[in-house]
Amino acid sequence: MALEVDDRNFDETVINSEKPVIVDFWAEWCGPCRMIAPIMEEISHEYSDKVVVAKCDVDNSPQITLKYGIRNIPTVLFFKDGKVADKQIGAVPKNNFVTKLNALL
Amino acid sequence: MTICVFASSSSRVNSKFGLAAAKLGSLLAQSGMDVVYGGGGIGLMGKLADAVIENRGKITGVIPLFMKEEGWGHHGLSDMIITPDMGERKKTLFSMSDAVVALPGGVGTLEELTEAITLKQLSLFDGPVIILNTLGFYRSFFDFLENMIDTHFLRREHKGIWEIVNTPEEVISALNRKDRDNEEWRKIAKI
Repeated sequence: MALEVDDRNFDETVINSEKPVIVDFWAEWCGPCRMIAPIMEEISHEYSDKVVVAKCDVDNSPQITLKYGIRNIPTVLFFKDGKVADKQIGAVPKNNFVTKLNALL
Repeated sequence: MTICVFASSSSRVNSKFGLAAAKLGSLLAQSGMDVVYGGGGIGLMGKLADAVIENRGKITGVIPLFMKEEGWGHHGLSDMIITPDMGERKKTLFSMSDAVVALPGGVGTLEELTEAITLKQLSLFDGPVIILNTLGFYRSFFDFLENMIDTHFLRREHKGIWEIVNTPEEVISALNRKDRDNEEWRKIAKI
């Protein structure tokens, strides 16, 4: 299951993680975000031992959203060693996420 | 393609509203599109259904049991689905439809239309939502939506969810448009 992260636990869960982390920036009112939510869930199961999958509600996390310059959602950031290694904006097919994720492993 | 039409059951309105509803019913039937609607026998709903039937189109009514028992249903329909309540009626209508068309109406029609917009915003319905603005009936509703956008209660890109047309002929052209999948707001939302 995707972990919920927000302004308070972002550093602890994402930045300090030993495994790569993908963070799905989303909001409840965002239709396209709902379309990729099941993909994120699938990835969290398929890569459960290798990757942390997190979701960040932009409406509840203004600081993180600002810090990473998130202007459009869904935006998925791929973190490795606490730094943004890649990014995917918009509701795109699962394969796009998987390709970027595999490149990090 | 199955088109869900939401419309008033009032028969006390300007006859031009009824004429537009009847025209739409004829055009939908002639275009080979199936119609689902609230099952009413009078008002714009009745005019629409009569015209579909006259033009040998396929129309299905979906009506809550209590309305059926009150005798509000259209008596000439061969297909009528009875639901336990209003909520189930709407759910049934959405589940059967590829597109939604809202004609002028009262609060019932308005909530059906706004639910269509809401479902589409949440990607729970992805067909066209077309508003037939006969005689400029919905003008103040559009102003209200614009006010929601100006005050940030509604996102500007979500304006792409609904389409406004003025004539029944334009409803058919809007239903036949094929280029909707490229709309950016379907893939992305600005924050």
